[in-house]
Amino acid sequence: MPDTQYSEIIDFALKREKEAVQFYTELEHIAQFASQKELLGEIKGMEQGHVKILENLKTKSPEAIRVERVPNFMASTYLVEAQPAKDMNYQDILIIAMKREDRSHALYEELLQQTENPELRKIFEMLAGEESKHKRFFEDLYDKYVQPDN
Amino acid sequence: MSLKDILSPLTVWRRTAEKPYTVIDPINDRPGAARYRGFHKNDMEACIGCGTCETICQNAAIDLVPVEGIETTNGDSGLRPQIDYGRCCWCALCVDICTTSSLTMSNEYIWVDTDPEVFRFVPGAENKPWDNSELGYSRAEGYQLLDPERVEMPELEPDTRLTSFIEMVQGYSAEQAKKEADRCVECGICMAACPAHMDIPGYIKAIRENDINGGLALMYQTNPFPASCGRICTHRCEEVCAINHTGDPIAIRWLKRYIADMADESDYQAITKTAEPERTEKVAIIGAGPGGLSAAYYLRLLGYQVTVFEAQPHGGGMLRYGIPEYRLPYDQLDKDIDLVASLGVEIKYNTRINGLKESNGPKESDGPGSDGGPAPSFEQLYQDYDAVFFSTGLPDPYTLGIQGEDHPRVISGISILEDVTAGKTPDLRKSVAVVGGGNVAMDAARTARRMGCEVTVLYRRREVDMPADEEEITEAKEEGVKFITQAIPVRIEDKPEAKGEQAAFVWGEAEMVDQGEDRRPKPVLQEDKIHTDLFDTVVPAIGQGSSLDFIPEDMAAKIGIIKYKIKVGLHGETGEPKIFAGGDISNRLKDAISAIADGHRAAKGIDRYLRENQSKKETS
Ligand SMILES: Cc1cc2nc3c(=O)[nH]c(=O)nc-3n(C[C@H](O)[C@H](O)[C@H](O)COP(=O)(O)OP(=O)(O)OC[C@H]3O[C@@H](n4cnc5c(N)ncnc54)[C@H](O)[C@@H]3O)c2cc1C
Ligand code: SF4
Ligand code: SF4
Repeated sequence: MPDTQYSEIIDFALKREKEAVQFYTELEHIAQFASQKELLGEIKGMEQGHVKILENLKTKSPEAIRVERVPNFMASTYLVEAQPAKDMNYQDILIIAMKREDRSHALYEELLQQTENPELRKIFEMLAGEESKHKRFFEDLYDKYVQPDN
Repeated sequence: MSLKDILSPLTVWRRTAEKPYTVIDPINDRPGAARYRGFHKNDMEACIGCGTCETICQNAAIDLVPVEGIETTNGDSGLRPQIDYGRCCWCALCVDICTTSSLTMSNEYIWVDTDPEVFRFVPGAENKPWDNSELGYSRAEGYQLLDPERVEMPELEPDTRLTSFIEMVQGYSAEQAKKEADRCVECGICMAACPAHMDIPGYIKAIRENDINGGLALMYQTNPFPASCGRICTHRCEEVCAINHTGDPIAIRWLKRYIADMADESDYQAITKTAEPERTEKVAIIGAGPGGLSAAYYLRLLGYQVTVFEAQPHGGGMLRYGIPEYRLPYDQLDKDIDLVASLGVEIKYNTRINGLKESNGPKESDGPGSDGGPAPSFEQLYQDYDAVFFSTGLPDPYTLGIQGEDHPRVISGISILEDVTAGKTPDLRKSVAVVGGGNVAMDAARTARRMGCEVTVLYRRREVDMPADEEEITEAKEEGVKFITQAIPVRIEDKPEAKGEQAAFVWGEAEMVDQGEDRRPKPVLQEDKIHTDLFDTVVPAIGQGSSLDFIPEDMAAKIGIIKYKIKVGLHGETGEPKIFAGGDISNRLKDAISAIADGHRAAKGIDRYLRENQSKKETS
């Protein structure tokens, strides 16, 4: 695989993560209460972490990439998209986060299906795996704190 | 010289030709009988270090000692019996009484050593030749020195229960309470498991000795809600009770209730009074739930001037507006609250503290009884008082988050329970689906049954995973509540023919995916196994969140909020030295006794903070 193709894909993923950082920054401005801002700040910090991971990947060779897949428990599939609003509660913010990760995951899965090139497939698989891990993190929080009784 | 004297030496010499009388290899030649009581063996994993063996030993031959590799855990003191064979008389009382049956005796009785110290050892901790011996003494099947059976609590029959909200548990008589108290071995293992570390063996002993006031005084040392906790406590103590290993745990919660029921209300104040001098410092408390009132009680005992601000027209928090009357009658809750108030704690009801800088009046929804005066803001309290404690709970119900949930026939479990407390009749109609498997779901379901509804509980996981108390689930079943487990909510539809009068609840069957030890399995929706059921009312009861909007942003940053919860230290300290917090908004267990314990610890923290402040002022 030409190096340019590899770094283009990583750049694409990086752009998405940076957009996510921007998105949560904007949400912080919309939010009205300290509890919302604290959580949004934490999620934003995680997205910044993802940016760092991807930047590090740029300096690595594609062969060094490790693919980790997390099973999809569909915990957020049937949840309704929450809208950013100044009175968002914990549940709303987690739903927003899960849905974003869900969409990113679906995008990389889609790209994965569309390519036959084994090296490209590996990168998309890695990126899809990363997104599903992030989604799973929020799903676990949702399970534990939003629906402890269900 | 007689002839006998002459012949005797010859008789002795004759013995030399006979078989010797001494046992040359005694260990092999003279084994103990099969059930002989020889050196002890102890199954270190099964033993919980309760010390009952030590207590019963008449020769003081047993000491409970720390053992390397054995940790103190919930339900295990981390100690193990050490036996002194210079004192042991091999009576086996220790084996007969052992609460876990971990202690037994081998049939080995011979051990030769020149060092007397080695005859004092911890069975099971040091390898001994008899450790694997099959023979010896153990308690015979069915033979019990301890009574394994709990005295049954009289309860109303399910049919009678459904006719009203009358309390279903009727309480022990004096005779029953004494009989139950007699089963306790006073080991104290339960005390560590109780979040408030109540002196359980102490008040159980008081029942045995018919010292009700003494028992009540002991309870008030760590818990000013004995009448309430005696009914609805999550009784974590009973799970670890030593007797639970081979029989039913002691009914600790019911015994607590017995004392609270028996104590004369007129004696309460005398029992709980202290001689602390009055102090001038003022403490504001937000929330008259168990957390807030517990802090108020202990601060008042220390002499502080305490004012509690409560949004609702009555105190008790979720104990009143969540837990239904058939589990905790209001007069019993009031008994606990009245004692706190009677000590001089001022409780301002209908007063919702808000985050606004300027004062505002009570909300219209705060109900009657409002004095119409302005409710202070959080900032005002911060300025006007020497310390602030808040325990505002988790009032906001989370939604199912699925499509169609804004259907008019969806009503949250918490709002149903709150309505019933406020004397309103929730509009439930006939068929009701309650979604969730916790205590709120059980309370909502059983409340709906008492209002004549047909109730189905739908829960995403298996019955064993339900967070509700086992007895609540059993009682709900007895009362005719149906359960559908492994049912994942998918969406709520409005069938055209139902015209908003009924909700079509769409749910799918779940397949459980194991997540390893100590983690709840994950329910995964099977999209090809979808069901639709029509209900008059759908009641989500899956969890609640905090409402911290009353804390202004600049203050919140200092206090420290993590994931919508308040971050506190051991004594309820927040990041702002003058502000303390506790109860459901900060702890993990989210039950009444944990909130009470938080309130008590925070009172100690506030006391320390105010005293340090005072001494700083005096030295400056
Ligand atoms: C339906 C239900 C059943 C339960 N069953 C049990 C059970 O069987 N056993 C058990 O141990 N626990 C049970 N619990 C949990 C238990 O009720 C709580 O753990 C406990 O009440 C927490 O106490 P708290 O003081 O932290 O908060 P709460 O009891 O919630 O009290 C908080 C108080 O603060 C007031 N408040 C909130 N915001 C403001 C404000 N801004 N200004 C003024 N006042 C304010 C509220 O009105 C409320 O009175 C149950 C809870 C529910 C909902
Ligand atoms: S009575 Fe049994 S369980 Fe308790 S300390 Fe003794 S040996 Fe261990
Ligand atoms: S109640 Fe159980 S655990 Fe507590 S002291 Fe009595 S026997 Fe021991």
